[in-house]
Amino acid sequence: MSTLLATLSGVFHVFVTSIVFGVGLPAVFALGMRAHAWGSGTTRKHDGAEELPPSRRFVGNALMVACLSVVMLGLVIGIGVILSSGLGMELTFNGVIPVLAPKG
Amino acid sequence: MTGEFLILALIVITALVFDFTNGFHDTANAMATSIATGALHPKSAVLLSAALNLIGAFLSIEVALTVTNSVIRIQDSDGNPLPALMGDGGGALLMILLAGLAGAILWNLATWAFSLPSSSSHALFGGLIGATIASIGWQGVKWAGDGTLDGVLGKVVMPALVSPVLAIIVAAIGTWTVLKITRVIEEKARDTWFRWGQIGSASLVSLAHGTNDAQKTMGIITLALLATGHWHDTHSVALWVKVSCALAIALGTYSGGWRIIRTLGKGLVDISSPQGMAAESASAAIILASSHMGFALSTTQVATGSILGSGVGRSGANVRWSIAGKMALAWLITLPMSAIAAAIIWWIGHFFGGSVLAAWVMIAILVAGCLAFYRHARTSHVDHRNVNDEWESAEPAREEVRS
Repeated sequence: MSTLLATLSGVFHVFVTSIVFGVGLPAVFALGMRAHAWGSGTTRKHDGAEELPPSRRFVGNALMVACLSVVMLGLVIGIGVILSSGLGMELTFNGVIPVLAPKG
Repeated sequence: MTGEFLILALIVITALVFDFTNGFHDTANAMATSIATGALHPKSAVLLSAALNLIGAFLSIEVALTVTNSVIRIQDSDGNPLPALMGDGGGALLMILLAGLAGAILWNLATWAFSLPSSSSHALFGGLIGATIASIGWQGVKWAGDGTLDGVLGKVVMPALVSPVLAIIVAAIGTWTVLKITRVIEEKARDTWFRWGQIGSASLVSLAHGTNDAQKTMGIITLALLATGHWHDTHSVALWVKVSCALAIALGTYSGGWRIIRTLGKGLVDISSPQGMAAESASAAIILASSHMGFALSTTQVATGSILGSGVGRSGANVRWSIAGKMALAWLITLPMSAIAAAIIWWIGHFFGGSVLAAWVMIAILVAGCLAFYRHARTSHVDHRNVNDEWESAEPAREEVRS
């Protein structure tokens, strides 16, 4: 019974984290893609036919860069988790920036 | 060369062979979707995955000396072999390791021959459990942890039930979300983006795999060295052990396991690059989240669940549930089958006196079994040239087997 409870609690945490990273990051990536398409007028609606103001291209690209930065941060956290498990360290998020710390 | 040293050498080689099968069995977990959607050329995909597995294996500084402690009782909590098994210079322990590895290798090759993904860790645990039961009896097996996630229940049964369900749900939500967000974008541009995303997330899965799985073989080899007095440090692994394990898993990954890649990439779901990215991201997130929380999920079962989920999340996608059913059956019997194989091999070894002759007989059985599965696999050859052929045009071109 206690094993079952330990499992359920573990599963719940893994589930929530996986939704945040496994769904959240691809969604942000997709939003970046959409921002780029909106700025450059390459959505299906526009298809690059009509002239768009240059400011819109700038805003679209800026949004894209912001989105991709979030995705890159996610990738760095992922590599941090791998490193920490390999080095016998723990990845902590006490501050905003993830830090490798000795286990304990 | 003493008999004991010879047995030790045979165990090291067998362990490295297991590591190799572990590699080619799991290439598909990371790379099947990237190969199926054309994000990467098949050969480039296995090369990338092999390189990341190699790096990952070298990153594992932490010693996995107590790997067998999850399911059986042959080591103490430091990693030293139990004194009860050391009566004859560690011979009893060596026989358990050799039979266990042989059982795990046979199951890995059997599932490969039938083109089914299955968890190499569960096969290894199964083999060790079978050999332990044959050798020291049922009390040698740790069935459940004391309120913790340990033992057969916590490390094998629970994860096997949980992983696929979790992965299907996360990947299905992910697929649905990214398709919804990008539906206004022209398809060609969209696919280019998603291919890059796919390569990134698949690389994370490969790196994590190298860090986790090579450690297990390093642990087994070091246990054999400790048992025979060739190593005394329970806080580190010999450099040659680390290098050879890293190379074995990387070479295995590079060799591809094309049959399993084909099943995962083309057989389960007709996968597009948005689905591929959603599936690999879900896999990476679940594997890393679970490893971060000390909750051992099987990479294979997560990856397979994610690919299924990417089919569930796209309306109108064709999910071949009959193939998923076959996989589920294979997972269900992974532990008992490799346990039975290992137990039989142990008994045969015991019959031959448990010494050098016994070790050679056990190796001979292993080699014969491997050749039989290899012959079966040759009746329908799959490699990097036909791995992406249409699934419905049935089995890849059958070649006549010269006999």
